[in-house]
Amino acid sequence: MIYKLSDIDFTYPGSTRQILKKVSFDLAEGQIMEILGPNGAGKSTLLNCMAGLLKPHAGTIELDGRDLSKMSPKEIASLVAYVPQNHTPSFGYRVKDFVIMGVAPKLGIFGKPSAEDEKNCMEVLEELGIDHLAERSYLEISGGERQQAMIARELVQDPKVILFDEPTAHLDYGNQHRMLKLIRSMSRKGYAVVITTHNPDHALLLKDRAGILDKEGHMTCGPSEEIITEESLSKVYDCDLRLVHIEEMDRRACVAPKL
Amino acid sequence: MKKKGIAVNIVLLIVLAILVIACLCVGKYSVSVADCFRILSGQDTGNAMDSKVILGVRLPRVLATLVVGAALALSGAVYQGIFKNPLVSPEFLGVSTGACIGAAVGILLSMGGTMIQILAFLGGLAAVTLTLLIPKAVKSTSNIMLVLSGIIVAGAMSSILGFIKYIADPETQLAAITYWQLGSFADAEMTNVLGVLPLTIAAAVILLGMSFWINIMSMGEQEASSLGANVPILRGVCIVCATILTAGAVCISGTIGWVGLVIPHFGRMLIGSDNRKLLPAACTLGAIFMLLVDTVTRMIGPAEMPVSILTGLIGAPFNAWLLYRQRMNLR
Repeated sequence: MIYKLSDIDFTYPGSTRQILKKVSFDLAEGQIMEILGPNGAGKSTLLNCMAGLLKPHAGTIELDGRDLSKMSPKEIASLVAYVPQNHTPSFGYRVKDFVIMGVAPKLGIFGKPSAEDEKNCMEVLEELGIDHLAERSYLEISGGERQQAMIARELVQDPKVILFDEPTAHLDYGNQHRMLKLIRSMSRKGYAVVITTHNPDHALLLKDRAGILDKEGHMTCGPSEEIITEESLSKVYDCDLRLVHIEEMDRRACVAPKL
Repeated sequence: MKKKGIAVNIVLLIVLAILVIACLCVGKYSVSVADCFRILSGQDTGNAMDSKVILGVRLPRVLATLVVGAALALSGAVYQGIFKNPLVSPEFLGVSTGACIGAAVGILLSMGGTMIQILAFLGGLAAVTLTLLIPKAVKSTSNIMLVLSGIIVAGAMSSILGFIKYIADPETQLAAITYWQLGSFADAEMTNVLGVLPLTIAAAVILLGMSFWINIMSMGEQEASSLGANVPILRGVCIVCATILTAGAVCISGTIGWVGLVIPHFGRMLIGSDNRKLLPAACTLGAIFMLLVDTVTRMIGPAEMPVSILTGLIGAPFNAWLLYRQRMNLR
């Protein structure tokens, strides 16, 4: 097990609403876990806790067999790559300068990436087929290209787990699909991936683990086939949803009612 | 393309070296380049006046402009990086106003030049400490809280400064305080510059060494932390070093606006946003800018103009032009 969460409770300071209640689940290498839940349910909060950015009040998080709360940012970063949702760059770094930031966990306070790191970084860009973007400003490329650059940075970081807060938000339909494909190919390479999403279809497409976080802070986890049902979805989104099997595509899809 | 960054930095250094020689030679009393070289290398030119002008007056002054320009531009670039905000400048944590109060108190108590400098330095550090304590007191360590805190402290400081000016002797002290506030290199002395230099160089070396981490910090607190940065410590070290640079600059020349804001932007246009290349370039560009502006102020007009007037007159429209050029990037 790379992650082992046991009975996590979390409430923001000064707030009376408990965001996470006794959240527990395990995650192994090569697994993808898709976290679903309505707006404000605490999906990002959960990822922040897993990344060590927020401290749960109760419960323990074990990362690669160690207590997360006793690990330094550097130790966590060498195992976990985390992409927060509100990623707003202020400066026009070139894509390659942005991607090479992934080597940071290996460096000391006066450290700088070596020529070898630069080379490795270019190889990752080539592997993802975005080496033509290397010299472009990060502010000028499209949202889809930016997500790819982000993935390149994670590959450079070389973690065991990747936490993704809504990787498909702001992407067009085709890019969303390509993103999911990329996520699955990463899991097949052995990375454990946790993603949050607003689209139940994504969990159905990825067909691995899923967790549904409700407004009360409870989370139900398990294989997506079992967890994602018409009842559970309709309840969590407060909307009459149907799961239909589409012969042509040979897959299940989540469908909303007529307006 | 890493080589391009190094090449630009080398070209900038060569330009700076040429300008230093040129600025040593020109002025209301001009000296030939050949004589200037002879004097600098310790030879006797047979003209005592030349050597007095170069070594006694212009060299300290040129050195002062280089240190101040480089220090302000570097600290500006660092503040902009770690606060993820291209509109931040060295003045915003209250450093400059704090240093000004220190100096004003010294002037008010009729202290000597060295004492005024020490007080200016302490004033600057005190203001930053105060700015850093407010977010601690309200238990929020976010950047925006720090910026707001800086505005609060700077506001309070300028009121205190106003009060000191109000009670100061209008004949002598008020003029001296105002002159300090506007900034000038006219009274730059070698001992002042050399006194500030060791600490300034130490701070600059640390910041240049941390340039890659400043890139990481500019991604925002959460992302920097998830990339393994110990945000409170890194940010603390950066703020302390940048403050030392700003306070040191204020000690030498009084407060000089705009350099710390505009030069880093200009540097980004020239060499890109990567702080590994930008920070050294900002130092050189800041030094070049300050040197040129000061040379102009001492050459035009019958009486010397405080240098801040000119940096403002150049800096404000220049910044407007930069914003126009960068409007695509400032969304």
